[in-house]
Amino acid sequence: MIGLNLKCESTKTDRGDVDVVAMEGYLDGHTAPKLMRLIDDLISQKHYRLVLDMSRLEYMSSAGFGILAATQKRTQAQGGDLKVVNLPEKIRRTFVTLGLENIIETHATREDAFAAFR
Amino acid sequence: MSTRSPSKKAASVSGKCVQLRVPAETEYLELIRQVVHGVALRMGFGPQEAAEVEMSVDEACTNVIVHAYGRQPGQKLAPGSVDDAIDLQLVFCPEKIVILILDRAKPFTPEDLGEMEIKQHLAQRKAHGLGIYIIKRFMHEVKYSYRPGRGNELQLVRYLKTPHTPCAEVRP
Repeated sequence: MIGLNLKCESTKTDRGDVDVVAMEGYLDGHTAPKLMRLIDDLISQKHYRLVLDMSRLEYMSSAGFGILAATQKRTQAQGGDLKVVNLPEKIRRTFVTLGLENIIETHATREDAFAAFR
Repeated sequence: MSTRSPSKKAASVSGKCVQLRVPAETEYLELIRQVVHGVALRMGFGPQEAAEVEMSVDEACTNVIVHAYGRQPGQKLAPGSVDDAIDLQLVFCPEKIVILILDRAKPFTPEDLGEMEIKQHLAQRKAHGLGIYIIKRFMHEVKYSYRPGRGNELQLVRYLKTPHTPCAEVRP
């Protein structure tokens, strides 16, 4: 069982501090609470600029897509945002099917995502 | 959704069935996905179609565990809780795969299978409720029934191509 590995690091950018969460493995109904707890911790510490790096993510179910949508709302309400980088093609297809590409920014690199923060 | 002609693979496995019984714990979702994906590929579905079938079953089983059985993600069953299980049957037909998902939890609410306004749902940034939408987008047929004494039965069908040969009725 691979499960979900998360690695969080804070990066200083021209637009201020941004927290990058690197994701590896499966984000599903079993592992989603692990990501939710990490995001809750970040937001409780007033970290509202988040980037999710999905380059090593192999699978995402609706539990993960729901977290993306809900987290973006929470961060934007505090003047921040949630951006996604390195979205794997097989996950992008469902991302598009759900219409998430219209509400959540995706970028090819972390640097592109950092530059997109206001 | 794209469709494809029945392949030699599909013809060679037609009529066969794979059955799987797993405890109603989210930890087993990964195993369920691996089995379903492998079976779909073996039937002749392409990688994208197989991924969509896999995801649909994952969503359905997640709903059974979390909503029907009321288990939290990661929650373990008490030793000896043999009835809290999910039974999957994957039946190979000439031009489709029929997946039967059975559980003995409380009856499902049929309204939960109703149409969903995805734009409105996402506009509200709800964290839950996308699973049924995904199942209905990715599977060609979704049928639910409840049989007293037997439990919930959810039947999912994905076609390789518009069928000409009826598949034998699927019953546990």
